[in-house]
Amino acid sequence: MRRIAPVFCIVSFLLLGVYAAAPLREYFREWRRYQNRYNNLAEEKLRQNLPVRTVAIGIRQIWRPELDVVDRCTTCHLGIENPVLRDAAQPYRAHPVTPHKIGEMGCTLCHRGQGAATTARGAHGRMQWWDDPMLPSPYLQASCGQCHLGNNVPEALALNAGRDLLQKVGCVGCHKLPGFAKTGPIGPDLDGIGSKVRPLWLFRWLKNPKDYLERTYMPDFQLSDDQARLLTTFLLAQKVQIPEAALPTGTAVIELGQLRYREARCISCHAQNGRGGTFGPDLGRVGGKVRPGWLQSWLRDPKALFPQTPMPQFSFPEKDIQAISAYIVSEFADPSLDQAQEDEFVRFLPAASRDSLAAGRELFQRLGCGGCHALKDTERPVEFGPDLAGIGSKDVDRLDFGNVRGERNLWTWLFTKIKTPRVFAKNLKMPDFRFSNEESREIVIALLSISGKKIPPQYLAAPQTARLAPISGEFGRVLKKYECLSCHTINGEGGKLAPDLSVIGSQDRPEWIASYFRVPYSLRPILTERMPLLGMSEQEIRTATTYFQLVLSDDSIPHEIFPRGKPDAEEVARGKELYYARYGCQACHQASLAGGYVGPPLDGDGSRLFSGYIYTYLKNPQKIKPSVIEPNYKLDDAEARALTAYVVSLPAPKERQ
Amino acid sequence: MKRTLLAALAGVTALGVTLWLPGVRAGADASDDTKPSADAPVVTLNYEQANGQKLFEHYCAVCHGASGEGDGFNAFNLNPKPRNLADRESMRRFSDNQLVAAISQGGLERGKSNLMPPWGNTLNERQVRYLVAYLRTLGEPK
Repeated sequence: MRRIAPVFCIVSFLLLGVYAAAPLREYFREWRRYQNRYNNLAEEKLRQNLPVRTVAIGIRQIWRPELDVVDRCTTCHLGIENPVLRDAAQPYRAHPVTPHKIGEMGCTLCHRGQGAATTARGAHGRMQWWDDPMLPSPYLQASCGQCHLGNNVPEALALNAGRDLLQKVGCVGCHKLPGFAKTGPIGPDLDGIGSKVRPLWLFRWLKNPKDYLERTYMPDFQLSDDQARLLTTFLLAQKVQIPEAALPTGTAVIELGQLRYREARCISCHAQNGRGGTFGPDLGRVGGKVRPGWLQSWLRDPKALFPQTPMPQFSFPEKDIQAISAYIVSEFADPSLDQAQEDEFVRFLPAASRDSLAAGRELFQRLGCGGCHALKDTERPVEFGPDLAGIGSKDVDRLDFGNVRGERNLWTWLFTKIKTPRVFAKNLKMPDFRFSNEESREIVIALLSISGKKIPPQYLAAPQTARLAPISGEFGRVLKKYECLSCHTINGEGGKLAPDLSVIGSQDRPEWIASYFRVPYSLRPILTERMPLLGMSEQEIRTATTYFQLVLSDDSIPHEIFPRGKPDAEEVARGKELYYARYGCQACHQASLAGGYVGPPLDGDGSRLFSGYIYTYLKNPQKIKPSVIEPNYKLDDAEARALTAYVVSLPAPKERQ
Repeated sequence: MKRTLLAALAGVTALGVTLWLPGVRAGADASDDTKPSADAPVVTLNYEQANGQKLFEHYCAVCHGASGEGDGFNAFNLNPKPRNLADRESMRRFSDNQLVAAISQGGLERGKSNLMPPWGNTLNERQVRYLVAYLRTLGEPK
């Protein structure tokens, strides 16, 4: 009995101590300090007459059960909704302006971390056994992508760019990527590659594609010389029937070729050593790449050689085809590649035997070339790379960092993987795309957005996928032949290089369109990408203009708003006054050969555009062209009418009359 | 007996301190949020500024120039010349709200040139705020 008394005494004191320490500890919690400091800050701001309210001490939380969000971040981040605190020190700084109301969906849905924690370290999630630390700001846009699908998320510029890249470089060729459609091969068909390219070019291309074409998406597979030679032999054996036509020579022919090359405006899509359009490949050194016979067949009918090509079929006569080919080969020669070198290279190439071809095909398959290129007797790889479902929330302990030092978190791993794909282990297969730091960041953002988090359907924002049936029939064939949708958009389908044609029938007068097809001139002198001279037949021109009138029209846009087609002089004078003195239109437009070049010149617009279109457009330009620069001036009906009157009264400049 | 009592008191104090300390110490780590690692990408513009930059390049750069110095390709045609937005000294005189008003209302309404159009019907207020955030980065010493 006497022996147990001291033990009992100690235990009692211990218990008492625990009871005494608990409130003390609660009193000294860090969030209380942050709240007290915030109240001091608020009082200081109030003395400067700035609206900052003090807060009652206590835990604050945002609870959104449907999103599985319990966030106590606002316990310390007390100023996030107050714009007065834009430049305050953390944790009190106001949240930047975003499209969402701050706190509407809690904090951790976007920022990650541990919402229920009440210490800074715990909440920011930088602690052991918490798998979901806060996303650093460079990758934050990944969170937009959890609810916003598609690559046109408003304001999430880096996310969109990343998703674009994932699609463009053909990641789906090897990986399963949720949210990305498994498209056809993104690279050209290789069935006739042996008839198309020269041997030494092919070898150098395989060794380092970016060396020939800076902007190519073809990655570097880090092939050894022997591997590249074997593949060269294998690919050169893939031939199609193409007449090996010799090219005509002589300055007259080359000059004709140059003229036709210029007239067709090839430079709108094909740059020459970096100068010109970027839609097609740079042709600066193409003379060292293609065989003359192939080039002529290609200019005759590109789709016969590669049905998916976005290149239009120009209706060049045979003489011009030869001249253009001769011009291209002589003008765009590759100074780094001469015939003697090539002969020497071919001499040491493995001979095309049954064994070497089989070995070449095996290498082709092993590298996964089929992910991007179709080639007969080879297969498209199935699940060649890892499935990327849920990659955005992958557990860091399940990532192999190999011998790489540095931060151990998901985004650092992904960034390193994208930048240096084979760094974590030997025998990795992913090729090097030579992405810049910025591109890599964008791709990591897009990957992190594939988080596998369950988002309730009412929060999901999916792009509109209701596609119209593809345009077919007579006009559909014209559209395909000239690949109009490579540059133009119709009802949401197509390219962004050139104007949207969805309501072209209500916009431009058919006789003007017909003359434009015959001799396209650039409405805007500052553009590089210009409408090519396609050489359409009169029948095709009739088909297109008729289709525009019958289908691509908007009934809410009247054709003419002036009786007898002409405005009266008084209205024109009033419009002129508004044009110069009130709205300063001359800042951006040419009228009477004076003014700016931001918008199209207006001289002669009355013979191009329907007056009803000009009127409707002026009232709300973005309604017709959502991203047009022309500001909306909220014109009233009379003002819009007067301005239209002035514009249609401007005569066309002499050279176009 | 006295020794036992002392030991017990010491134990209680030690226990109290250990229970309390972690809560206090955690405060020291509070400020180290989002520090990029050595090979992480460098992002120079924040969300507002990056969106502002995109809008600026689309709507404003034609006259004010890509770097905001008032030397866009269309500036030759304008009189008065577009303002040099990269001149930090003169830009500092305007509050954010003044810049928002200038962009939204345009020149004429504020007694200036009508060659600067009003953007308030074309851009929403958030977009104008983004633009202002970006304007503040122009002319920053590199």
